Amino acid sequence: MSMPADQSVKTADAKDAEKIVADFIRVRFRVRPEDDHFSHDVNLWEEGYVDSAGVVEMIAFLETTFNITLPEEVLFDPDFTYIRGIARLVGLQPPRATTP
Amino acid sequence: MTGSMTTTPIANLILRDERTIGVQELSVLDTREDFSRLRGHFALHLKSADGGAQLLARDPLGVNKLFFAIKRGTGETNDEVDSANFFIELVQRGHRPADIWSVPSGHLVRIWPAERRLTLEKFSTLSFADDAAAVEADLPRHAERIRTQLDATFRILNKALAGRTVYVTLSGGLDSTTVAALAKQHLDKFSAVTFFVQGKDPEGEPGSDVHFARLVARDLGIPLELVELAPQSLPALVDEVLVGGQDYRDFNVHCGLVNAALAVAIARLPRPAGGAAPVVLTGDTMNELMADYTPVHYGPAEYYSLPNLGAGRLRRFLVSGLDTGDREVGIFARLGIDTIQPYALYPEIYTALPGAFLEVDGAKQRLARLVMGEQVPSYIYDRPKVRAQVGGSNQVGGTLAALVDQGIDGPELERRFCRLAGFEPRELKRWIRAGVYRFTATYPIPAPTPLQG
Repeated sequence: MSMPADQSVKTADAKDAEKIVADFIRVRFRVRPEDDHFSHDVNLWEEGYVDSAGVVEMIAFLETTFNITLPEEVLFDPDFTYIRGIARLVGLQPPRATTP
Repeated sequence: MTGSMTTTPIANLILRDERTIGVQELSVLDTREDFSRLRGHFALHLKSADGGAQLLARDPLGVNKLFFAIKRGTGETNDEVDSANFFIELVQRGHRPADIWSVPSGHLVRIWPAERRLTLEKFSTLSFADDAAAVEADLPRHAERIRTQLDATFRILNKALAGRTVYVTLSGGLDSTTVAALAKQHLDKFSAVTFFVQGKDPEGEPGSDVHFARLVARDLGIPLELVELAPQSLPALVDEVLVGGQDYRDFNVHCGLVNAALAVAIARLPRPAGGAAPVVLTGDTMNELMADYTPVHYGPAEYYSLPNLGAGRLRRFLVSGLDTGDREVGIFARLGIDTIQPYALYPEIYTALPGAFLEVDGAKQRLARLVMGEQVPSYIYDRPKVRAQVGGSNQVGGTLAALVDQGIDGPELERRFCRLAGFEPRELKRWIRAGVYRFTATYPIPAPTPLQG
């Protein structure tokens, strides 16, 4: 089954974003390579992968890397608890206007 | 909105056009634009006269806390909106922690219980000059703007505090000394209060808070009350700090303990019969506005760890984290004492400072010298950075050491907070995220059977 062109682009973007977010978390929060529990669907806060200071670093990373501003509303969006959901939310944000 | 207002135990200080406004004037407030002109410390729950819409509003930095829960109607009666400054009050009224929501800083929550509809609007947007370059020649202009606004703020306070018993919480650091110096210039009469842990901060030892507080009080000509507490007395205050400060994180608890000790002492001091509640003026929020934080090492551990960001970028997150960072207002309020944080009233004068300026060592001292000049004694500008809960510049003491030495660490504070507020440990991780209390942008339909007792 073929996918409409625009949708496949979005899917590829989301996959890229997922990988970028996952790589950041693995490195910054020292997730062990052999940690089988870590996945793109695990709750990052409740399972202790990211702590309260870490959330701030992650937001700053996402805003810089994807050139977006995350609105406060995403903080308590159920999607903002796991990597796949975070990548989806990132994809929904418009690019930040560049300062002339 | 015409109608009534729910009274709250934490006093509201509402400013518009550089004057205070009273509760009777709140009826003219309705739109986001109306609220965008307000400054101050406030948490409001306004109910329309026709019983339709209800409006909850919280000050731009979230100095005063405001929580709400929906009490489910019976089918014949509409849902009701229940609000409180203190989360735990709503728990005590039978709401489950999971059904309690915060009104975010600088937001309006409008609720139509009959329609089960809720909207969330942001009325205050603070601009941060995060990416602006530090232009040396601009610094005096910033300093002049800050000084003008601080003087205006203290003129407002002079009128608002007439006849009240006023204290300045003086740690002998730069921020509280600046407040004391401005109070000396603008207020008629006040005292300073300083806390120290017995044995950990020997009275008068060079480098300690109490040493510098004594010098400042002497040089500014301010009466000083010293509040001394034995380390073993501090654990008894921890639960009160957790409830009043509504936070379990060690930084805020350690700082809250200093204020709890001061609050107990102030509450015991004589006050005029029938007079209004005493007021404390504090130097709080300046560290957030200038991103002036560093971790502290005590024993083998690091405390007060920060996100790994430069000060210019960190400031925005520290300021938005004030949404949850109450180490003063609620703690003093529970003993009948009002709190005013002068730096928090017009934060835009500080957030306009270029992010790159904050990255420079000694940025705050440099700015303060331009703002205050010789009104602040020179030894205060030269004093190494110190936190009130650490107690001195030379060695770590204060409430941090007192609690850690008695085995009350971060995990213990979390456990105690869960017990007091009725949280499951897992639920607690859903309650504060990036320094912001959990909030909702949609109508939260509560579970059918509220918790009893």
